[in-house]
Amino acid sequence: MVKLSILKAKEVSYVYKSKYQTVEAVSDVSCTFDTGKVYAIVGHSGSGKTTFLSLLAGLDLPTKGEIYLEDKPMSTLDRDKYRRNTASVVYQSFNLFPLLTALENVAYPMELKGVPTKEAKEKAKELISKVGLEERIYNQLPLMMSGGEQQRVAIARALAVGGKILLADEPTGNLDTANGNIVVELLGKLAHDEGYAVIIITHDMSIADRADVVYTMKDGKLATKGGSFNGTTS
Amino acid sequence: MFVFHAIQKNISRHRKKSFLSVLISCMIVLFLLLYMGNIEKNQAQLLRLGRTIPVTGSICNIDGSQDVGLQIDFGMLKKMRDTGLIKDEVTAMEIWAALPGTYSESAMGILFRFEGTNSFSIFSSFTPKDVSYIDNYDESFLKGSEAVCIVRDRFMREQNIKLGDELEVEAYAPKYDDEGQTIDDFEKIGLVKMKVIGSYKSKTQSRNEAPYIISSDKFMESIYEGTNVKSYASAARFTLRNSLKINEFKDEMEKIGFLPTNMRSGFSRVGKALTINDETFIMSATQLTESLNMLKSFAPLIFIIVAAIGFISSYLLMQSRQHEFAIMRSLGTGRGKCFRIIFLESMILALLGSIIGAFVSGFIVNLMFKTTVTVLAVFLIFYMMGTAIALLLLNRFSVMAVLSKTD
Repeated sequence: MVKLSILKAKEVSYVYKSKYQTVEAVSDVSCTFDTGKVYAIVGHSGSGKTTFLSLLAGLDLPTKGEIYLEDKPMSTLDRDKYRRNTASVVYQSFNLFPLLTALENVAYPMELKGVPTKEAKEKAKELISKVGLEERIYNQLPLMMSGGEQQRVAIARALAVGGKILLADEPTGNLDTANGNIVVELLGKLAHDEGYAVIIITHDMSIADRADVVYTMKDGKLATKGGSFNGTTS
Repeated sequence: MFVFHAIQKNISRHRKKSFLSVLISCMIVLFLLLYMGNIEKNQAQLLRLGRTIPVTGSICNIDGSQDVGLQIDFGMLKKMRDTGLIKDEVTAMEIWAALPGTYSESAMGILFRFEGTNSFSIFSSFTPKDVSYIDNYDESFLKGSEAVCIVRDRFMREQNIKLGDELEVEAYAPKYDDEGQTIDDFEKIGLVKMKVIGSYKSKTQSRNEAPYIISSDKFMESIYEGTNVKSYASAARFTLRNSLKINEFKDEMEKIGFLPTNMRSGFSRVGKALTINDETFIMSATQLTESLNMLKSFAPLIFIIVAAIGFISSYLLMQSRQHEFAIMRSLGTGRGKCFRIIFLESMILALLGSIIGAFVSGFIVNLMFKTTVTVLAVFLIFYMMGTAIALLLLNRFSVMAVLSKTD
């Protein structure tokens, strides 16, 4: 698999300003993310990793520095379009639409892009099957599914975006070990077999151990780099 | 297309919230329509007041002491009539009469009152029931100009006059000085011949309170034709065509030259003041107008409250769906599109609720269609303004902050 640098952070800082204090959540971070690799960004709570993920997802803009999507500065892009077509985020608490079925949740990003409902649902079925879920899940609401199933539906929805960047914020945080393994394996496969750039935010070192590249964040700074993906968890 | 599809899905999936939105709109519209119904009812009552409580008036002398036996300029009466503000006008003319050859300046006692009028209502000493006619004649003779008259029974006995006789009298007009005071002198108008078609019995024995001869005012006017003697009306009463135009009427009368009565003025027979019996009307109209004004004064506050309810209900309903908006935003739905989806969704529900409210109100109040449509439009504008503010505030959240919260 050809590995291309798809996302690059250059001297990125992000400052939260409140009435009483100013906090530099991300401080002068530079790094690159290639397709076909799993990246883990590890760090303690408050280290700035989730803020950094929101910058990579285009949900916020850095107060200093720039993030580049294939050499195009993020600040010049339509960031809504970027999330519609290129990058998708998977969260710890799944964040599926609670009143939509699994099929409708997965079809949503495609419908948002104008794909007819019927076509979107057909494609959604393929994606649900791809994440290892059965047909019975199609018409189930999130509350009727297990955590593992919900997270896999969330991954299927992320795949429905059709881009090559998959950002995951503590994707196994609400799952048991078995389901956590399934999700991590799935993310690994997407990177290695389908060329996604998978960026996982986690404080679980066992997941970090299985990443191709590990960034450690401390007090908003990117500290170390290393790691290799082996596809299993301890 | 996506927007409408999303709205339809949202409405059907959020059944409870949708129902609540519809219910809130329905209740507000119902309240607004009942409120408007109250205003309309009061306005209708005010309009009806003009018919149920007529405002009447009469011309009187300046000190207000009498409204008969006056010297009223016909020119002013005509101007009053020309305003189109009065109806049911009753006028009278008064002259003095004497049997031919019986009057001399030194013997005023043989002059007797002769009045011309268009209605018996000008007299208080008898009613139409007290009048008896010869065949083929009735009260309608007062509307014509025929040389006929009715005569007081006492006078008939004294002068030995019989019904159907021809009565011949000399007519005299009283002389007035410049201030409208009568001077003890009369001016001869001419000889008048009339057929006696009826007689009437006066309830009073006083010689002055009821005239001896009554003809139509038109006939009396004809007596003056061909003479140099100026004629005056002696009394004039009227009813306002529209009681609600009382102020307009008073302004017009002031322009014509009528004055308010002034008890301190000296006595005069010139009829240039007005007495208007509007106390009952004004009291009722004031009460209604006050309650109407009070109702209307609440209008701005009520519509601000509607906007506030729109804001609060939308804010609370939408706040509980913030998580859903965050997911939409995370998947690339723009802020504008999010706003459109939720705003249109709210508008559809508010419209549905307001139509139901209008339908239900139809069973309680009877409002004009135009008023109902106006209320619905104003409600929607204010309610949606509140919704828009709520959405603009809610649309400013941090997506990551909402979605990174663990359950």
